[in-house]
Amino acid sequence: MTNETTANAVPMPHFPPRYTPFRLAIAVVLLGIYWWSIVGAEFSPVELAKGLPKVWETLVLMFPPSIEGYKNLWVPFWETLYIGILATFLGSLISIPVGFLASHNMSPWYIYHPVRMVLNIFRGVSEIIWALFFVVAVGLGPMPGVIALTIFSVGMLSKLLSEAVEASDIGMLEAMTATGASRWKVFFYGAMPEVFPLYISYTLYYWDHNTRQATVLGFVGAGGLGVTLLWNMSMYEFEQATTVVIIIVCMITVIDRLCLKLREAIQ
Amino acid sequence: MSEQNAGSRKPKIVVDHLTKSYDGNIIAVDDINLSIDKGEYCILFGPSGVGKSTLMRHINYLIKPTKGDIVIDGKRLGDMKTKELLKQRSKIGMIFQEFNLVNRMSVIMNVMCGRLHYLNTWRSLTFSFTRDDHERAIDCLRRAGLHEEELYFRRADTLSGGQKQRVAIARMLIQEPEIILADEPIAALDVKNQHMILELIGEIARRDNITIVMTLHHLDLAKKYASRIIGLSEGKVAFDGPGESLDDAAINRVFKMEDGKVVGTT
Amino acid sequence: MAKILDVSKIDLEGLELAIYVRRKVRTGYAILVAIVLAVVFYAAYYTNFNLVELERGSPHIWKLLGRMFPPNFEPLAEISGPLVETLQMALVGTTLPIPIAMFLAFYAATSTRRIHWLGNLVRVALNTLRTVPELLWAMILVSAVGLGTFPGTLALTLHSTGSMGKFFYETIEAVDEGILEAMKSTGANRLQIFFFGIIPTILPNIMSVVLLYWDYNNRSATVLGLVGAGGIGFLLTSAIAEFEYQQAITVLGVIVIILTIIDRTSAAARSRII
Repeated sequence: MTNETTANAVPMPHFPPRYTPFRLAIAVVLLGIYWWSIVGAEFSPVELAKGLPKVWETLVLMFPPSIEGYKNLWVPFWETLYIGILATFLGSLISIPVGFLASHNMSPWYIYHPVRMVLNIFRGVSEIIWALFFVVAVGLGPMPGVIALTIFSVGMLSKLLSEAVEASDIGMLEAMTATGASRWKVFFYGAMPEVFPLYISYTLYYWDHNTRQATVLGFVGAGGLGVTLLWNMSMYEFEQATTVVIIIVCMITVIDRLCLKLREAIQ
Repeated sequence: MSEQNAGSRKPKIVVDHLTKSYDGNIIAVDDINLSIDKGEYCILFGPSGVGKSTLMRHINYLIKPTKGDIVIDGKRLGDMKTKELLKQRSKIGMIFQEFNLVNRMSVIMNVMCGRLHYLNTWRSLTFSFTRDDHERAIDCLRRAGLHEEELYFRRADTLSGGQKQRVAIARMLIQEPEIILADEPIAALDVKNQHMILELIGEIARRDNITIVMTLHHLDLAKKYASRIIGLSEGKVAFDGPGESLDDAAINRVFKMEDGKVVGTT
Repeated sequence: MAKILDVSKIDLEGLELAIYVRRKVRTGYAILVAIVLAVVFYAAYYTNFNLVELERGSPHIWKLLGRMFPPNFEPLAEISGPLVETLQMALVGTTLPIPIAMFLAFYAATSTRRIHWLGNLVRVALNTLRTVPELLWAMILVSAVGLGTFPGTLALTLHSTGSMGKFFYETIEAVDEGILEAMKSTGANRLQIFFFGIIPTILPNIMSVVLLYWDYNNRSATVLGLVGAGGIGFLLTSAIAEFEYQQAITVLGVIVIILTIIDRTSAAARSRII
């Protein structure tokens, strides 16, 4: 910009100063909290320098992976996969009516408030804790794992579905209501077709997530590869554990790719 | 015209001291009284935000009134149970400015949605309409002027504006309505389609003696098609009469142009 | 829902055509449903998950729930330390991966990478970091460096780096080519394009995903204690292991309340950004 143009044009706007004392004070406080967190999380450079060599030592112990006893991995592998599929299927199915009940444009307040409260609890407790709870209640095995992941998926998917439904076009819902359709029919025909691609993509995301979590549910005795892994680690069979980790990485990668393809197919 | 009929037979729709206020202070509809006879082609007009759409949405209870009520065929909507209300709604067809078709559903499915009230639970859950519904849908699509059958199985969002409104009209027709509510049905269309759609609605209404309540901001078109024009201003009725009697003075009164002070005295 | 079907080649019309299309669509859905149900039923059979078993287990579930009440508020006295630790781990485990993931995404994204094989290598590394659950990382790291919050924080960092990195490079690849070209034409170098063209463009996405992972990591951090990686999880698991269910419910209650508050905060912040 040359001088002539600026002289004729509007005067330069007045920029407020970037560093006011107030902002600086906030920055200092935030940095303080952050530093405190780093210390609390034992993540100071000193700790890091001390810890990382040990991590490296363990990594060296983990290689090369051993395929000894790979035959014992088949059952937990399929178990993990099936826990993920079952929990996602059940969770996605249950979340449709629950999502309807949790949407404020579909249900009256005395329904959706309590439903959301319950969903908060479903979501607020981690899957592993749910699994721990159900292992205590119904015993070891894949079943408590399926229940735990189903509960968590219902919490997540219902919330996401209800948010999508609440964002859907009012006009379409109005048109359906005007035909004399009851509320759930309005939901089914006015809202669901529109949110369906989103619903499927959330469901696929949680399939990926559930399978990933299913690999560690075994830590609390809820079936799958986690049981094997826990066993290997406690026996210091790091090379066998590596094989399990590689299987997990491959399994999740394949599912991730599959989800991507499916999502594209639904557009 | 309306005064003559009012004495001789029962009115189709009675708007009885209808008041709607939001948050207790913003009054959208202010103590309106109207009586609409069977077969009337009624057009509501007035500046935007004056409560036309709000008034219309009370007729099928999409909006519930703060005070007063709507009476259809002598029955008060406010006294109805949910089931009766749904039944009543199924007899009132409605079309919209933005068509409000479900984009991701096929055209024929969209039309059949007009039969949702009669569809049983199992069929509703599995999206399977009956053979009879299919037959009616095709019939209604033809009556609405959509004859190309390959369009019936396309997704609704692939259609042009004029076609979409015809699908919406077919969805309304399949309800076999006694009353048609139309909310600015031609505002999103081009001039050629505007005339065709209004013509179509008028034709349908004449054939089965259907009552029409429509909001429209094209005054020339309103004069041409309506049997009765109701002008709203600030939630009150400012003009009510046949199309011919709508002169410039009346229009000014509704829109409060030039001599705004006159409004208060009438 | 009905797919677009080419009906021009079908020699039917009117109702017959409509019924034909309906049958066609229905058959398609029936096959799809049958496949899904077959997989699900086989999965249920394999994992021995059935309603009879669930029915048999349900009295135990109710009994266990009954033993959790009334809550015993004793753990509240010692909860603050582990709780703060949990939140600290999640904060560091969410913020530290941001620059690392950004740096790696710069090498992984097809629009910014220069060395093809290096990009692929970074992608494989990010994928490995992402697919291994944080609890598994924690377990491996605990056996490497011992108990404490350090392995927990590192586990969260590793998993989040993988997840965020993948998200970042996908977002970078989606950035409009025009912006990059405009920057290039001003003579900016690769790093300048990255900092002044790409990052400002994707900043809202970055913020949104970071908040999402903050939420996620807080939840994960509550269970890291299970394998000895610090936080409130240790308190919870030891309460359950010692059959102190009335104490466990108190800890759970605190976790749910804290996580709900964080969830709300993060959701509110995200809706302001988008």
